[in-house]
Amino acid sequence: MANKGMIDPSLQQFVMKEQQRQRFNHLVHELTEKCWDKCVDKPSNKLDSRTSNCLGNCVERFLDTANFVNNRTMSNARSPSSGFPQDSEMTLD
Amino acid sequence: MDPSKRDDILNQARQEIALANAQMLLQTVADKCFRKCVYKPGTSLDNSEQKCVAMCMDRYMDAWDLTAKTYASRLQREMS
Repeated sequence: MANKGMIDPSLQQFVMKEQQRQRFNHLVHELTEKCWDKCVDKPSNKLDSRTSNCLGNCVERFLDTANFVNNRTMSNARSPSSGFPQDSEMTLD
Repeated sequence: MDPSKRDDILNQARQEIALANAQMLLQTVADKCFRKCVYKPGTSLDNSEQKCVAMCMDRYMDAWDLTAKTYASRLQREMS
């Protein structure tokens, strides 16, 4: 540490870079798990083209889904008249 | 702190992060491949189960690489 109470900029850079790398890694880990379960049947000598295709589509469609959920939630927050039911609409009768 | 000592510490941190990631991956691979290859656990991991696990490990790594590539190119597309 160069000065007390001051964050060493190179240390800050190190932390930011590692955090970014870790976020990427984490998401790849999660995506691989999900898409493996959906796409891979019996492990064989190589990933066949059907499985590779499925894995690629699975990753893209998961990210589309995540974006869709985010966008829809954001637009509902701006105009609450459509989409998720409001409290008043959730009465049980 | 003198710079070379600081670099040593940062490298050590990088190595520990890499080790933690590898351990997590191995745990996941064991879980996935156990499910795919060991249907009825017997008194030992028999030959065909071992072959299946070995193949499963390699295919899981292929799937990991493909996922990383797909996600990386998606990130690049969304940024541009």
